[in-house]
Amino acid sequence: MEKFFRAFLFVLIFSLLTSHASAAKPSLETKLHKLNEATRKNQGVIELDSSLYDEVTSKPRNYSIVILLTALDPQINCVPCKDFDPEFRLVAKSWLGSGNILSRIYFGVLDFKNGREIYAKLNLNNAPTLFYFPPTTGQYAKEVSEPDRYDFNRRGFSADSFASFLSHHLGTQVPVNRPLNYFAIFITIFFILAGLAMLKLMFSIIQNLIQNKSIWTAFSLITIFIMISGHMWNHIRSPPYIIPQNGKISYITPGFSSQLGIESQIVAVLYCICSFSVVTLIISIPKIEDKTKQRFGVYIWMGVLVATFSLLFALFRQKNPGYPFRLFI
Amino acid sequence: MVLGLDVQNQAALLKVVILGLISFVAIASRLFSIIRFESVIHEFDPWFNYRATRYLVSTSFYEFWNWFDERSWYPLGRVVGGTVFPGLMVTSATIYNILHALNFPVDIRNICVLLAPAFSAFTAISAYLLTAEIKDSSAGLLAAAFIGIAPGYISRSVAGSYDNEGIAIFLLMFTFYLWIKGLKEGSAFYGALTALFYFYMVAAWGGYVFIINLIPLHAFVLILMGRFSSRLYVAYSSFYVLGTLMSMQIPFVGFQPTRTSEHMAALGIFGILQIIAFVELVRSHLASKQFQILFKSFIVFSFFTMFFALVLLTLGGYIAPWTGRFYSLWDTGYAKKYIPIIASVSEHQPTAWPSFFFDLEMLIFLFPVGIYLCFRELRDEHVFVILYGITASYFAGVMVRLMLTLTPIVCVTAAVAVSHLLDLYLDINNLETERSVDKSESDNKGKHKKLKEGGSRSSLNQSKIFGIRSFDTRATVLIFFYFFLIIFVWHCTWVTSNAYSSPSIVLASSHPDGSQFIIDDFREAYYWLRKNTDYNSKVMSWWDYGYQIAGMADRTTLVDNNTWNNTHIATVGKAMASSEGVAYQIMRRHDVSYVLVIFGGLLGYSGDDINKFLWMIRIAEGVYPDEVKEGNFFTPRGEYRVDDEATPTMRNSIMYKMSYHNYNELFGGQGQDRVRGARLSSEKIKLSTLEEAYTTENWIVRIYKVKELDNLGRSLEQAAAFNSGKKRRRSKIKSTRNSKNG
Repeated sequence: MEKFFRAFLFVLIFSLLTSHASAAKPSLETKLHKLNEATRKNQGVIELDSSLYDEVTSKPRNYSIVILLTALDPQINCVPCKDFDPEFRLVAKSWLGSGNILSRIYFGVLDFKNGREIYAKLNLNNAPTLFYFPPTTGQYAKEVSEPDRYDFNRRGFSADSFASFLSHHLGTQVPVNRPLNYFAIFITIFFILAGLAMLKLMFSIIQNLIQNKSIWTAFSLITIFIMISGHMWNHIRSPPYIIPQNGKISYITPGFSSQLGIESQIVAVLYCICSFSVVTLIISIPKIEDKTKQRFGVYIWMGVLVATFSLLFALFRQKNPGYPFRLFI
Repeated sequence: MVLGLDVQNQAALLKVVILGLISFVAIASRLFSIIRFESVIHEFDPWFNYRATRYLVSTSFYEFWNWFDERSWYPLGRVVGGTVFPGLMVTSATIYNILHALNFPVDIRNICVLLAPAFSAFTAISAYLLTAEIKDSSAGLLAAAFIGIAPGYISRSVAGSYDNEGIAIFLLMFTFYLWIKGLKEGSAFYGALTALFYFYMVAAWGGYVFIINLIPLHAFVLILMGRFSSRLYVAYSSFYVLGTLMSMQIPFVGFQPTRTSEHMAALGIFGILQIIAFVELVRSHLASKQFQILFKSFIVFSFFTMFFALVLLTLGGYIAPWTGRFYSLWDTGYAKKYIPIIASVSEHQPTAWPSFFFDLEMLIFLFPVGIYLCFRELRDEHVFVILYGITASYFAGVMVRLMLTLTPIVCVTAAVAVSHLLDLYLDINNLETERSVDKSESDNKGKHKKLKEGGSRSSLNQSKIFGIRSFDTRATVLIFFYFFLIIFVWHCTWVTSNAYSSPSIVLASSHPDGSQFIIDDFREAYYWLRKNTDYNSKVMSWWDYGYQIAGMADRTTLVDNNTWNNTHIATVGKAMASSEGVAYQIMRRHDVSYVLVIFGGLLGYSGDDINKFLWMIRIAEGVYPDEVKEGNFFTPRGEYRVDDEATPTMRNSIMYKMSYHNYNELFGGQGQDRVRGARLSSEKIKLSTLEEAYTTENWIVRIYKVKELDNLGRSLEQAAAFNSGKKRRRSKIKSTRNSKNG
């Protein structure tokens, strides 16, 4: 056995020394063949395991390969992995059907359960991770042979940005052909038609609704409350809703220019209560004829206003510890 | 009779006195920075405005109009006359010329410093006028007082903050007042005045787009509500035609009103108004119902035709689509993805709730109350207030900076709310127990009658209202609201004093014993540049400091806060993010002789260049994706570090080297970065193409000189290696000698 191995090594070294190209070629060709087979079989995506990973990423390569290291195991519960997986497969499938030379780029997927060794070797502790391996030989070879990591944080998880990342590397357009979702189209058409029919049937009701002042008032006020309580910040920055912290749940995050999801809702409710009590004091109270009832109403709503306003101050002091003013609390 | 005036004149006198006092307060509360520091121009953009104003004052208006500034954006230069909103500069130059004509030799700097506070007084008065149109003059006075001290507006109008917004908010309010007035009276005169002030606004601030979209929106909603009237027609048509023609006289705006999407709504509404007016005219001569249906469908048809024509023209490229800056207001993810230079500016970040409370305090929850009260009355002007309130609150939510446009309407509506409340709880006539006392005073009676009539006009359900009937409840509510108002004043004063009165070119901190410690590094560095470098030397820095270098150091800059050329900025970013060899080539190509970096590590000044570095990298990557990669500046664990674990790319970048060069020596070993709380690596940072020229007292500004090419034709790195090698040999020799002696 050992002898055989030695002989093999010798042959290998010898052939490498004599003609570099002829030695590399057959292995490359078989590799290509293997990759092509796997690609065609599985709609453009090659399912890898640890050994296969090492094989396809080893140099020399006369092809590019992009490898998604993912963890689709339900136990791991990697949400971005699940989100990105169909997008990745979509790009792979589109490439397969695009009529480009297949060998320019292959799409590989290595799941955590098949490739723990690779995860350990690359010292990876988060998924998904995506590497692009440029070709090292052949007409498309580049100077850099190191893999390029796809930056999910910056580029996002959509097929289009992934495709543009590939297009940039390959120098040709990588298409994204989303299959037409006939069902969705049908549903949309159905709903549009139904909506139009409803509009026709209920025209008078809708007209009343549109001309109803209270509805517009409510709509405007809700919009304003949402906006002034920092909802747009949540929308743009998407902070966590609450932070569970060793058993306790924190609703308020310190820091003047950040907030939690629930925080803006709390504030919106506080604003709402304050505004409502002022409106009551202005509009409803003077309509009460009975003196005692009126007095009762004034004290209640003034109390609510003062209490809520104090709470608001207290909340604000939590966000801005240097703030010197307080109202009762 | 007081002072021999009747009640009406007394009221008028009181109003004038109160408005005068409000104006005084508005100006006075903006002077913190002058009292604490000195009469100095603040921040970044004001330095350009100040420089331009000085140019305008020292030359003529026409020269200013044709000013090509070859000392910025080197080597490109900048056409200032065509790329600037000249309103601010012309305003202060006019004041300067008038004062000098009257033989008041005032320095132009002082005019610039005090311009924004002076205009805040005008803003208070226009808030009074606007609110008086919406409710009555007592609400107007409250609104004037609110806007006079509301931090949301003070943030942009303290003394020294010489920026477009300083005068623009006054113009915004006054234009809206004139529009409401013109609409109420159906007056072409007021329509024309609206156009005139709109023109002034266009000349002053890019935010004029808000006016040219809000007024058409108002008109459109009025049409939808079936409130088309000849008043609307006259006011809008006179405003639109004159305003558009005048706005096109500003070179920076030029033909935009006919060619960009931002202005198309106004044009469309103008067209619709013409059609509706025509239809109304025909309808008044025809009675048949069929014709009316026909005409209604004609209106709808023409609306859609215009809309599709607009879409087609946009697709065809005849009308420019929304510019990125405005588009990012709608699609909030847009800027981050496509225009990092906009996303990088801190005032373009979205607003978290504490900012709203900080800037408006209790007004923030009185604002919806005012909107609700407007809905109850819903005259034409109330529709305007509601639309303004909704749109402005959206914009303020998307960008911190646009808090500025929200503040006026919040003040107006909050004043309406408070004034309603005070009307109700201060109206003594309803108090049965005290009525007998009232009757004896005939003077007061007349006044109260007037007040009551005023109240009855505004309230709808007059028949059911009984008023507030007992004294104690009135007293409670009034005392509390009085208290709220006092807290509001305290809050505003505290915020103004603590948050908005720092000039940002002079920093203040306090010693442990409480005495003030002034950090004046910026000016120190800029004056060093001014006195010690050649007049034609080019200074490279990140774009934030461009205007200050041009204004204070009077040296040519590569990029500045105008940010019109993203590629040029990216080039500077690339230089900062690259290794010495690459950066040196870029710097040589741009004739750079000095590089300026801001470093806060010693003092803990967090707004320094290392913290801004990621944006430089991002912007550079947007243009040079192959040469600059953001990922290379992060450790494998995705952290942005400057200590031992900093990535090689980070450590080789000239930004890192310039920031920390010689910093370890200060500590005699390992430097401590107080901003990022990191211990630096003890490795000595070697610079071969740059040499330290100047470092300020607290190390905030560091200036490096770019070395000339080597005399012997070596690369600078070789030369540096050779020199250091020689040194080492010498020291070796020395040490051997020493050992011999010893």
